[in-house]
Amino acid sequence: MLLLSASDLRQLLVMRDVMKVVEEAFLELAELGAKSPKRDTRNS
Amino acid sequence: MSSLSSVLRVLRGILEIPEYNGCVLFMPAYLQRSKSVSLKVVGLYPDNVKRGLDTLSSILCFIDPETGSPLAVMDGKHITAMRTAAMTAIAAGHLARRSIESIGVIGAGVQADYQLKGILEVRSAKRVYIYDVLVERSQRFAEKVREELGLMAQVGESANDVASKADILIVATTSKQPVFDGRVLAKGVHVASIGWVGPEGRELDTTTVKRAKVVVDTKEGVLSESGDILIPIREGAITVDHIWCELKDLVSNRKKGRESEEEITLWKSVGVGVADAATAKLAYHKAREKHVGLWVEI
Repeated sequence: MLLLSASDLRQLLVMRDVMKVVEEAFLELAELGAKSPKRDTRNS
Repeated sequence: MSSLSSVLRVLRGILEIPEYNGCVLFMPAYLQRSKSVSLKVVGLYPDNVKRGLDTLSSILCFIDPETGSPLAVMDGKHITAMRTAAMTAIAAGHLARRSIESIGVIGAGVQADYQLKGILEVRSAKRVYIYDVLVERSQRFAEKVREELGLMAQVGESANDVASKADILIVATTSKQPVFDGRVLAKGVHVASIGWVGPEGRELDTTTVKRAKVVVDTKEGVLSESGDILIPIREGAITVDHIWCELKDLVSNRKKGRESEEEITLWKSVGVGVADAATAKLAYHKAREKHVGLWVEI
């Protein structure tokens, strides 16, 4: 199993790439007609 | 196999720990097509301030959907901040005017930095106006904006001052009361509100919500957790139908975003687990590719 710290994640993730995968996730929700998940996380 | 909609439907669990004035949240998510399963665990302990600890802690477990085996455990706060900013940026791409001069930031905490960088992925700006109840934090953030982003940055006199000058306004506070007067917003502004305070508190006033075309991450989430939307509904100022659409409707072009230069648009987000799952998958694969992280046997 891989352990990734905040420091590791800062090295790995750039905003443009995250936007791409997040957009694909929402497209998946839209295209599959899936019900949106319940509020299941927080921004703060 | 159950239907896809039921596969994707996940429930959030909250474990209250009243003797320590805290709670632990369990947030599962599954994206079938992209084969991403994640479980984020968040601890919210306001009294940690007295212990010199963060009030919020979070880890995320990324799981192999074929075997159920955990593939990675990672810091949840960075994942949350990145995916929240990414969602804001995607929404802004659909909702903000194409040409803008200034971005306003109310609440200069950790999220503001990510939010601003996200917005700058989709819109160029010359100036950033900043307001935080802590003046020092405003000033530090302004310095960071100048140094890291090379933009003009100015600390505003008040939240209303910043709100009135912004073409795009980021609101990222923990306030339980509205932080600015919606009457000061100029026509054509795009407001991105990501502060979370639950159904009984809000960072936006009713005027802001009523004046705006409202797009949310998910209706179900916002209508159960966001006082920014729930309070105006309870007041009778708006109905649920005032919500124009969800983010999935914009990205799939089922709904139009901005339709005129003058309309005020509002992005309200309380968070969506599938964005965690997608971001975690990206992090996991990049880590393997770049040999980053620590492998452990459990």
